[in-house]
Amino acid sequence: MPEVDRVIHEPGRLVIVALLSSIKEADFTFLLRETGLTKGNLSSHLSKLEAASYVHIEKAYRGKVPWTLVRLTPEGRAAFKEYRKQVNLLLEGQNGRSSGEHCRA
Amino acid sequence: MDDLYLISKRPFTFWAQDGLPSLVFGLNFMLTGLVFLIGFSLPRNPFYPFAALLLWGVIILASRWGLMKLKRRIVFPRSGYIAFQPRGWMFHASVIAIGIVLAAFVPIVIRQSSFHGWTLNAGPAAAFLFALASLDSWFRYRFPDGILLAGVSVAVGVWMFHTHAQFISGLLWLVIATGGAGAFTGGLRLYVFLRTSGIGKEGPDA
Repeated sequence: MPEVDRVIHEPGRLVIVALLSSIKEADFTFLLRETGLTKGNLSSHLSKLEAASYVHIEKAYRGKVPWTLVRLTPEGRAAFKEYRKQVNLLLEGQNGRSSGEHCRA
Repeated sequence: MDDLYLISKRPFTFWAQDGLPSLVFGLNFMLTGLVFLIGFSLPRNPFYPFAALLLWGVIILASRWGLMKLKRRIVFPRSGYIAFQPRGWMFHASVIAIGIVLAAFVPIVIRQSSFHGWTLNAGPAAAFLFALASLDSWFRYRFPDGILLAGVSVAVGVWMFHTHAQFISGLLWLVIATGGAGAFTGGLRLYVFLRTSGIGKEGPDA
C-alpha cells in the first residue's frame, strides 16, 4: 500500500497546498478567508509546510501593515502532484478490493 | 480528488467574485463596440482602420492597467492578494496567432456573407459562438457572469436573426450588449463586496 505524504495529508495543510497549486502566490489574508482556519492554526500549518520546504514564506510590509506572502516551492508542487497519485492509487486499490469481495459474496 | 480539483479552482472564483473584472471589461467591451459603431457610420477614410485598431489597443491596455490598480487599492486589502502563474511564451504566441487568423477570417466572412447572402446567418452564428465561449469561461474558470453573458448573446443572436441585422453592426451590438450586462452585474457585485468586506489584518500571529 503506498504511503501518503503526512505533511500534506493533514486536512488544513491539504487545502492550503491545493489552493496554492493553481497560482503563483497568495497572502495570509487570502489563505485565512479561503481555508476558514484561525490565524494561529494557519500560521502553524504554514510553519510545518515551510519546514518541509514545500512553501516559501516572505514577510513584507504594505505601508506599516505586515504582509505575509506564501508560494509553493517546486518541491511543494512536486510533492502535491505525487500526493494526488498516491491517493488515487490507494482509492483504486480499495475499489478493486471492494468489487472483488462483492464477487466472492 | 474531485474536491481537490474544485479547491484548486477557487482562486479563479476569488478573482472574479468582487465584480471588478466584469465591470472593467464590460465597460471595455461597451466602449470598443461604440467606437467601432461610430467609426463605421463615418465617411470612409483610409486612416480610420488604423486609428480604430490603435484605439482598441489603448482601450485593452488601459483596462488591464485600471483593473490591477483598482484590485490593489480596493480588493487586496479587504479579501487578500493572489497572483496567477505568468503565462509562457507559447501562450502569448498562440493568442497572437489566433488573433491574426481571426483578423484575416472576419473580412473573408463579411465578403462571403454579402456575396452569398449569408448575412442573416453569420451574425447569429457569431452570437452562438460567443455564448459557447461564455459558458466555457463559467465552467472552466468559474466566471460568475458566464451564464448571464451566454443568455444575453443568445438573445442578441435571436434579435439579429429576426431583424435581419447586418453582420458588422449586429456583432458590434452583441459586444455592446454583453459588455453592458457584464458591467451591470460586475458593478452590483462590487457594491455588495464593498459593503460586506472590511479591511483584513494579519495580526501578530502571522
